Amino acid sequence: MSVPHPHSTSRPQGFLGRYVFSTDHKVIGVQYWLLALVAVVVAMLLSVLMRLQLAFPTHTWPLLAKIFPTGMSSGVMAPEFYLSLVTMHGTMMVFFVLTTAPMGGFGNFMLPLQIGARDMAFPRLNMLSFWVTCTAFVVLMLAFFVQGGAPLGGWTAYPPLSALGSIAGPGEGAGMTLWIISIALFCAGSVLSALNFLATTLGMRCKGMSMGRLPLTAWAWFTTAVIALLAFPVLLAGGILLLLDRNAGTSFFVPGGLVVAGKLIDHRGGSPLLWQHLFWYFGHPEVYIAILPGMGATSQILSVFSRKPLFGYRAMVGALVAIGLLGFFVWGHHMFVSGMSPYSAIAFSILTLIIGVPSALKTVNWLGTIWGGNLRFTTAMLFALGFVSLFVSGGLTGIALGQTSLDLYLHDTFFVVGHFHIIMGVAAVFAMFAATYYWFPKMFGRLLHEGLGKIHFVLTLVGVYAIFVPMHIQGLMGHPRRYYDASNYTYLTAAQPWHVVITWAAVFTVAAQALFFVNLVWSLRRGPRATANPWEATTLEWTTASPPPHDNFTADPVVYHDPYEYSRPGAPRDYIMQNDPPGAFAEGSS
Amino acid sequence: MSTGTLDPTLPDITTGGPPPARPPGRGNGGDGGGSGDNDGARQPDTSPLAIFGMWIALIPILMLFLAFVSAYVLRHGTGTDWVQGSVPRIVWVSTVLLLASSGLLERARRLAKQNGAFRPWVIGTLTLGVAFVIGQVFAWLSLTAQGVYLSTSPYASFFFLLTISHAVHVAGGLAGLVAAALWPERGWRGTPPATSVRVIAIYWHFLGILWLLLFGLLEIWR
Repeated sequence: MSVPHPHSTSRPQGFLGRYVFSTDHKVIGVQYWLLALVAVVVAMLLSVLMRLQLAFPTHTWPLLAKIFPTGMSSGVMAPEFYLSLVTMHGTMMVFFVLTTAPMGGFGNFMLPLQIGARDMAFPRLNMLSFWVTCTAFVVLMLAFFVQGGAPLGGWTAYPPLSALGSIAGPGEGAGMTLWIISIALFCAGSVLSALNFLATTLGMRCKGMSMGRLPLTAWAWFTTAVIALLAFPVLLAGGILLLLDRNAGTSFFVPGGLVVAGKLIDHRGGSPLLWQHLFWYFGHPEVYIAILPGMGATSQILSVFSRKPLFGYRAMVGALVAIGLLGFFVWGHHMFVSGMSPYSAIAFSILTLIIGVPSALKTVNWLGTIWGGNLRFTTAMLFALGFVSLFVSGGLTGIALGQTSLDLYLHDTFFVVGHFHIIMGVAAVFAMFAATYYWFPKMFGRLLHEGLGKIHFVLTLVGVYAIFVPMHIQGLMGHPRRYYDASNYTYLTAAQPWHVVITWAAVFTVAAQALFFVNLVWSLRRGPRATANPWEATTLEWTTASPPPHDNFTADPVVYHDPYEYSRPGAPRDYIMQNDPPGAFAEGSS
Repeated sequence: MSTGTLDPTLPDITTGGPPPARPPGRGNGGDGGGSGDNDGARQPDTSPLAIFGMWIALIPILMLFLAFVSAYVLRHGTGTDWVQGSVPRIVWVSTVLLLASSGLLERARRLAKQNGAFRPWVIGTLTLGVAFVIGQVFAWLSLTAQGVYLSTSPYASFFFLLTISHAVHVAGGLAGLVAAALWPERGWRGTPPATSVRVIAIYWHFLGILWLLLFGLLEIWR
């Protein structure tokens, strides 16, 4: 019943129209993906600098003194410079990598294709979202170059110090102001993008694509969009209040009687805890904004390469929604040491532990999906399996940290750093790698090199565990995070050798990423050309050419099947595409 | 096997919320406006998407103000320096203007639905909307004339914060009203004039209700 599609939207002409100010969701998806790639490289290099400092705190680095004449004059890192690295690494990774790539990158490119739409619901709004986000990144980068340098307050920017200006430290002046503006812009871009995702998912699905037939990836993007729509405005509100406290003399967050750097601060009555509430009301859901798309991609990829239907589709959708919903009721577990009522702490603790239920359900279903499957160990599959491993490793320590009594000891130690890097950072990054190896052929029309990819996977998996497991040990030793030189404290001498181990592991892991970038560049030019459906997958993005034409489909697709129909007994081949006509499967076609 | 013949035309019962905005089968919400091979008559009606998009857009705006309001409640409850103020008298006038403007726009929306002459009513809404903003500006000026600024007291901080944030959103609404007043009779990018009025009415009524809540918070809630 699909009719030939008269080309209603002619492809825009000119470089600017096609690749820069494009309204094509595929171009915008690639733009987001490239932005995240730039951000991840910068943020990764910052982390290497931090690691050098932690492992060799008194070492002189003449070369670095030339690159950072103020932060590392005479070759030894200044404490303020270390803190600015912490802040910028965290901010870039959380916002411009973990939020940008899974949703803006892969979501933008794949959602319309997967639901059989020609584009997002509001293509111009989509373009605006990207450019606002890109501007936010530029503003953040500017913080490195202004008077005083980048901000020091960490990605959480706790007041009162973040609200006082340069009296609180060199980066807390112009750098901090730019940080707030950048985050405010990012909030605006993300909200616009989330709006588009919701309207697209609910209003642009092709014929036959009921919500019950959406691929798990689409469900994940949908849930993520709902979370983003509810969470980012709250951070924006917090940012506006913080900006007013800094620049307009208000006292939303700054209490009275505060003495900083020997000077009585002229504010009164504000509540630093108010920021913590606003921030974490956004901040915890933000964790799920980063990880849910990864869960979607993992579900997809495990099913494709196990040649089995996804185990428990409805339960998986329910778990996604449950995790997204519960995420809004647990922000207090970031504030157990803030002096909150123990009764509130118990409530937050129990709600936090409940998230373990849908999380465990997802893990069991992923294992159920690969159980007895006809496994194909492609690089994408390996990274998806790596995601499951990291999700379990990072999730279990989350249950430990969710206990108030344990958290009182572990709060603000390296245990927390190890925990959130494994689950929010590395697990999500593994899902992005999986998604990249899986969708690269669709995005660019060529396959990535599998051999290189597998080496990349093994080295990265070993590397990240070698980095982040020792951090848990340091945390148990009581090593606080954000200390720039642990060798100043005798009780931390036992933790210092671990810093050296972690730093070498980090250098090793960062070096291993060169394989990925070589693979990207080489495959873009020389990789084998991709057919429309190189993985023999079932969802709609694989029904159209690789890369897809401007209008996505030559004819409007009509969907007759569930998204994971693999190895159905009696079918002529081991997969049934969502738009295969009912009953009649053309043998061998793809 | 079994029933591979699930009818794709079955209504979608899994969708909870929105109206069945079965999409433009071709084209896409306004991407192809400039292309020449597109005859306007056959352009798909993008109204359901536009209306639905407007409804969704209210959610983040509501969340922004909810965050401000919870900050207000918390600061009011915990701060030791809270001195309750009240709104300048002109705010009562601008409140009435905003509510009246919603009434006019509702009339415009109903007329547009029946292909009636809705434009004068939209222009009336626009006039009252501008008057509302001018009223708010006078309120801010009257406060600063008394030496009350953003940083004078927590109440003043919140008064300026909430009213200015709301006025910024009203300014966006005014732009929308101008667009609706100028909307071509034959539609634009697949959206007929009735839809433009309907979309801006959703937003405008929302701002009216939001204003009543903020007004109640600033003037009545203690």
